[in-house]
Amino acid sequence: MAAKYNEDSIKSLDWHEHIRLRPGMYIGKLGDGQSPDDGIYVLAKEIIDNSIDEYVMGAGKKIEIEIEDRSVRIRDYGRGIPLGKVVDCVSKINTGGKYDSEAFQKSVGLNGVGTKAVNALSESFIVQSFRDGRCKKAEFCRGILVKEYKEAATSEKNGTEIVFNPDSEIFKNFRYLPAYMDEKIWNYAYLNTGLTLIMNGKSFSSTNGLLDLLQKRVDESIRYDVIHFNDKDIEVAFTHGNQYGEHYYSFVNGQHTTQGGTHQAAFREGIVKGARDHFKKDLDPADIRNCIIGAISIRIQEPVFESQTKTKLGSTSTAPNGPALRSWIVDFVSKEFDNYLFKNPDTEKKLLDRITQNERERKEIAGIKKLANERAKKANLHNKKLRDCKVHLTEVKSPLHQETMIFITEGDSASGSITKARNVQTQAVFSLRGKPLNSFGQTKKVVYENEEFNLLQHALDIENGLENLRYNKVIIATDADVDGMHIRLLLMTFFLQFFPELVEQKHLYILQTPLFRVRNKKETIYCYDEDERNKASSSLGKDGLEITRFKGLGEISPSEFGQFIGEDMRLESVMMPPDASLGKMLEYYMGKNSPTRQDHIVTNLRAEAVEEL
Amino acid sequence: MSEERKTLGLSNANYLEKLYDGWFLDYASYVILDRAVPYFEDGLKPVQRRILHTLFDMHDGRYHKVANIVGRTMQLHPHGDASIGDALVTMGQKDLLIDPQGNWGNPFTGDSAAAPRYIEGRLTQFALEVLFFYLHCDHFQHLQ
Repeated sequence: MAAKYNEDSIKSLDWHEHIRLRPGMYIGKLGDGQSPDDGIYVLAKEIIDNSIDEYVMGAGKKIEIEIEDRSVRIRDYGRGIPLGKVVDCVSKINTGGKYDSEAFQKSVGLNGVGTKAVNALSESFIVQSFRDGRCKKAEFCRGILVKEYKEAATSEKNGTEIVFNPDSEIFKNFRYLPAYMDEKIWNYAYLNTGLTLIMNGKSFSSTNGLLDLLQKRVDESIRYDVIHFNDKDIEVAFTHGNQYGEHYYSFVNGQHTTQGGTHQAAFREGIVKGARDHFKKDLDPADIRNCIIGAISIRIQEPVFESQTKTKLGSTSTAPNGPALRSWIVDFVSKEFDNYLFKNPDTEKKLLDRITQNERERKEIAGIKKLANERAKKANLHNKKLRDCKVHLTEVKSPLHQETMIFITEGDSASGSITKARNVQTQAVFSLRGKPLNSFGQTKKVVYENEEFNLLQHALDIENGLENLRYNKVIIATDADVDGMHIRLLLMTFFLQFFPELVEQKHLYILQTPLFRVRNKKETIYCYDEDERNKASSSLGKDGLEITRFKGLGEISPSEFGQFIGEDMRLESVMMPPDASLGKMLEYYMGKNSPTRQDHIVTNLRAEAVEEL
Repeated sequence: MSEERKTLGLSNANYLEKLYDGWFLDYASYVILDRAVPYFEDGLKPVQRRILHTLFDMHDGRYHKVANIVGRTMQLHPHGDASIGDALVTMGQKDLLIDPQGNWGNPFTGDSAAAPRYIEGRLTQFALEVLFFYLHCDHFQHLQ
């Protein structure tokens, strides 16, 4: 029988009920704090954002942040919330002081939702505002006012203090790892020069803004000193290094746009134009931009984002009915760049070296590229490693294009099952044979020479950058045994080395597959770790209980596989380190054997890895 | 260095490095403890020890097909048949512990062995006496 649909079925939720019912709409994914993009970090960010806005308004040069296992305290020295409105400000949705103020026009969060979302998702939320010797305090639990204190006298300096503990009902078994906040806090410091943030006693501040940001993320291998210029509402910095690909950090009104957007595109264009104008040569844009590391931060009115998560800018103008965004950035960057090169002949020479080297390398692989591409052309018609799906990420007209994914499997152990169990519309399978080559330290030539890599690059269509990437998620699906771990290492090294953008823009994932099957005659439960296994085995009872450990994905039959790659699929996303450590890390783990690595292995030998098998 | 690594994920966190470190140690530990390094007591790698044990189990004085030996060894060795077969052939080519029958290849000329279904092997008298101290073989008959 169809459910009744009448006046009674229409519900109005209280604001906090709605937030608690659909936390994803407000803070993205939930998680337990083991991954830097988990919701509990977003909670802290929302509160800090408000303190930053106070700084932007010219009040308070210091923000104190204390993050422990399960609690967060943030104290700013801004003007403090007006005492009479303290309760409203944190518990009435669509309430705030930023709706019509001129200065806040160039801030990201204007909706008055952030603080309220934190309030609703916290077990305890205590707000206290200090203003001119008076203070006001209020306590909440899951968005409901528990205790409101009377105004009282205080000797504290002006500002606002918020202490909250995320709700353990919503964030299961969470724990803050303060280090995962490091990158965000640094970004605040870079984008707000003069502001000091103190997290757990460690102080974050920057005098040179984006210049500092880049300097932290590059190592000795950069070709010339970071070029840095700024003007009202725009700041850029860039240099050339030795890594493959282009790396950008782009910000709009303090929001990190990880997927770039119109401002980043204009920045890239500006650099090419600047270099071409200066050298008076028709240089290839790819040669100019290869190996670049750059950062851009702009402030515009009412930015338009392409996605809900505000990671890609879509604005084409600097303000509603204002001048065009593109020409503003392109003109600024190219003019300043050109001038800078005239003033710094040393940099000019080193830049030209880099560009000619890029050109040479490009031509060097042109020959082999042609051969490889011919092979790949055949492969595109019939890429023998690939079982393609029907929809691709580039087909934006299809409503499914965001859901496309490709599984990279190890040997034939799983490709057959996945092929049978998959959704043919959106899920593709690429099967590797044996272990891929360790690509560390190799040049890009190897991507063309090695048949496996070449086919993979064509299956993903990332030869010329990410624009044509055919799948939104690239998922490494290896067995959960030690050789599977090795293949993960090798594949990740391949992507990190030659296609870092893929990782930066969060397209790369690891498929979590169950480790144990616990079953009796009636029921089967799949478990992803030992805790789950113990729970499952006690719930099923002793009668006819059988516990198997999966050694390879091949042990899972196609009919069972559906649930592991369906809606409840468990994916772990792979994220770039926030600093310049990537090169060193790859060298350490994937490079030549070194005494320190040997020591590390010897002191950390994992005997349990052996016993499991 | 190791002190720094212990706190990884707390103070010096770098998510990617945590993943790398975990995978790397899993793999490296396994390779060292259970694959590539011979054990100091008998000088054997795990796969070799498992092959010899299987040969001893099967031993009845007659030659056995290599394919069968490989199949039986698999009960102890959770890996592919090819890797077991290669290890067995390499041991047989030394002509010390295993008595080979058929074309087992030649490491000096680079010729490889015939397919496992064609060739046969059994433990040598030497292996039986030295490795297994086997009292039932002819040589020890007089002791019983």
